Amino acid sequence: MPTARHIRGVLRTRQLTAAEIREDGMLSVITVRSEKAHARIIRVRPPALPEGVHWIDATALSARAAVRLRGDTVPILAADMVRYVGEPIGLLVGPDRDTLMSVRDDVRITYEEFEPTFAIDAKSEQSVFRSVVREDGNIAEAFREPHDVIEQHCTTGVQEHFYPDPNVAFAAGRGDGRFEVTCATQWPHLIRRTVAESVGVRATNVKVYAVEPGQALEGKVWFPAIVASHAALAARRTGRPCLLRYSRSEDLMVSPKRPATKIRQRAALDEQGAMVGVDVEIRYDAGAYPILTDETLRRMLVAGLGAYRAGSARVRVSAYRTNSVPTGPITGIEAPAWYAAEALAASIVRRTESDPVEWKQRNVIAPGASSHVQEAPAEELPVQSLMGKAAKESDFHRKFAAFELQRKNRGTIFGQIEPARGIGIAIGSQGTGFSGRDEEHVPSMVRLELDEDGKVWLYNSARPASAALQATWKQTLATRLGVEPDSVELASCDTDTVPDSGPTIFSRALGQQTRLIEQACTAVLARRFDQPLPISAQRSYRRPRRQAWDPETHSGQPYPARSWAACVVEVEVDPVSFDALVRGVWMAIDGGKILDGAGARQTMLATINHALSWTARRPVTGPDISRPLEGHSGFSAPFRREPQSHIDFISHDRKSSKHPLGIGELPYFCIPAAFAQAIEQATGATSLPLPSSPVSIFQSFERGARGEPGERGEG
Amino acid sequence: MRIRMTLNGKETHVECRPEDRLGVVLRDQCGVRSARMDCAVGRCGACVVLFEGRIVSSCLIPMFRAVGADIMTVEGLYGTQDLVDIERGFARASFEPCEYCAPVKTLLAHAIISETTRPRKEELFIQTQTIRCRCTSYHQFVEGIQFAAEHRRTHAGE
Repeated sequence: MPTARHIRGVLRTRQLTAAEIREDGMLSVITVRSEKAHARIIRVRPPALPEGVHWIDATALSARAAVRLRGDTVPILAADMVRYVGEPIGLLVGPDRDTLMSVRDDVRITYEEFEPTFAIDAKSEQSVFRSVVREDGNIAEAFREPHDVIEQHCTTGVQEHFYPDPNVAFAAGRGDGRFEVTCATQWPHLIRRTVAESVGVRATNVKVYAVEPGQALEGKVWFPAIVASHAALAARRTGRPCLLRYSRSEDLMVSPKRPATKIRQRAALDEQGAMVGVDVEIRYDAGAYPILTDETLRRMLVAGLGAYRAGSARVRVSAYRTNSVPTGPITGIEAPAWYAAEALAASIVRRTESDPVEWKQRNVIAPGASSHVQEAPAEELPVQSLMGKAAKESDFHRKFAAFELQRKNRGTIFGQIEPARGIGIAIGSQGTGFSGRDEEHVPSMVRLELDEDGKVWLYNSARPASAALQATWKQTLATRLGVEPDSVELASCDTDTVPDSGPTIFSRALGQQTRLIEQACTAVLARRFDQPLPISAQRSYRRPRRQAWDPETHSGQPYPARSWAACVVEVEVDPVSFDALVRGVWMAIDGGKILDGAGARQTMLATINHALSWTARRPVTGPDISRPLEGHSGFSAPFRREPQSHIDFISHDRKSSKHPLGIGELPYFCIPAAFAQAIEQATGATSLPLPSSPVSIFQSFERGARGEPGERGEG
Repeated sequence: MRIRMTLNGKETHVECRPEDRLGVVLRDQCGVRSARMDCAVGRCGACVVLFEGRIVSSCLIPMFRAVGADIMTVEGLYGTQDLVDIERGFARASFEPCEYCAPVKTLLAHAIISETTRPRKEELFIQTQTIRCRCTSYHQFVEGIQFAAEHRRTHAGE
């Protein structure tokens, strides 16, 4: 539980955001963007520029300029082709933002247009950027003589990031070819590298000050590198400090989102309703410039069957290069795959008229068995007990039976006065850290120093958004090294001071950095009385040998560690308006060692709200992510009628449970499916749109009433 | 134009255009850092101030309306028992907003419990939606305000 003193520190924060930086002679920068989704730039003709206004285009970039991340690249400024509406083409720099806006209206760009593509279906195979496929067993054999076959499609929409502060970057030249950049980022060293390549200087000549990004929701992993590069280009051209500040609507329009997906599933069942064969095809819209593609493909592949076993399985995941805004890693990137896996389980439960808890407990991967990627849990997965706990706390069995009876007795929901109720249950798991072998290739350095004054300095660049976790780090160091908590300092988060610890993504700050801090602490202690002060130690991540992953066959242990959760969602649907109200959410979580119970609970409460907003709220951008549907007016509270949530942390005697595990993404993996099941039970609909709305719930109800099988589709 | 207003109890003069927005002037000329300009259309609540005793989005207030106005930001609460009550209330509810929205959430809590030290939960759920940062649950925000009101009542001898 945070103390009043700790809260005081947060409330009286003097933290400066980049938008608040003011320097003498500072200039503003605005971005000139493509109006076309797919075109060749024939000519760019800026108007006669007022005095003091500068135009910058791709010719100002050095040859290597691009955001480069694990083999994927995104251009800084379009030189020849534009591939999405809003792609940066040029920059206008000047003393007055209003003047720049009027100049921008007069920039004339001539294009040779091409047909844009937004489709991610089987007919668009030529758009496949990269794909992975994993076949386990003989899938053809499994479908030869099945007792029953279920086939369905799911589509999910984009997820907006909704971080609190729009992107801003400040850049200034400091002489001798040195640049200083300030921006909110989850990976300052990526900014440094990208800015250096953009302006053509050595990385050591760029110093990046990382401003706390708050709840960035992974929206600030790579995208700020583009914004910062633009600001740095302006600073180099003008020799003056420059500030580039996005408006909320500009930020919503062009910053990366969680990709939309289309998922096709086919399952062959035996007499008991167990899956003897499953064929899953996941297609996702990676946007105009796919990034972190291998990571996204792998996470979707691993989550393709959820936590369930199948005799044989084939999972294929394809990233489609379209003319949408680049998508990218965002909290819960593989949530669509989890949703689809749970949706398939729900369809089987309905077809076989089974009890959902009983079917799921019976078909979850058992100890000694392995998943479709040959992930063999050494210990029993905590799914059984988590589902039991969530079901018990929510009174699931009684309510499920009562709501089923209610639905069967009343017939159609039409003509009813009382709200229709439903309840659903789902499971999910979150892998901490990068998947496969990528965690070994991403920087993770942590350095610790005990100085002559007895002060402890922690140097790392992967700072958690949670002030509570930072406080926990300080407390851990103080306790272990025998100093006062006030003697522990987190070194200034700039790239000249702290080592590259990689991005704060996939709960790396909590799961991986915390362990590295503990290891560095042990190393300092070991030398405490042998060496004179100062003593320093540094640690980087090494994957344990037993956690092997074969990137050729896509098999092995995909994550260093996993947390697990089961959740129950209860809803009621108004029979007239088809408005859905979430009556309650119950979650049982195995999150390993919980460092700060109150902080963990706060994280879960906020994330449950986010997950519900993705499930039951339209995105603010259009289906092709090219234009905002509602502009910034759509930037509203994530889920206005926040339900009561009940959270239980359950500790299991698992080896991985001895360490803290990432839990913040768990609601994204299980709440959408539980919500969908609850709505389907309440209305008798055969399918649920995701994200859903009263209109789409009504449409799916109509499909159900007509006896159509329906498709789990976007509303 | 030169405008006189009262900011956090002190008479303040600023040079600005009549159509300039209060939020921008507070940040650029008065050193107020707690009200952040985010959406600039009065929806996100990141820039709220107490304007003549009412919570308003300062991005919507043109400076010609601020002539002679009494304006309070969270900086005006520093060093007061009122702020201590809020800090304790938030801590009791384990409510820790992010640094981006913490100042305006504090000011909103102060505005609510200055109006009534017995705020109703249903009304709080509506009032707290003024600030749309998604870093925390609204349940915890509401609980934090209720606890803060309790501390305020104790100090007021209610």
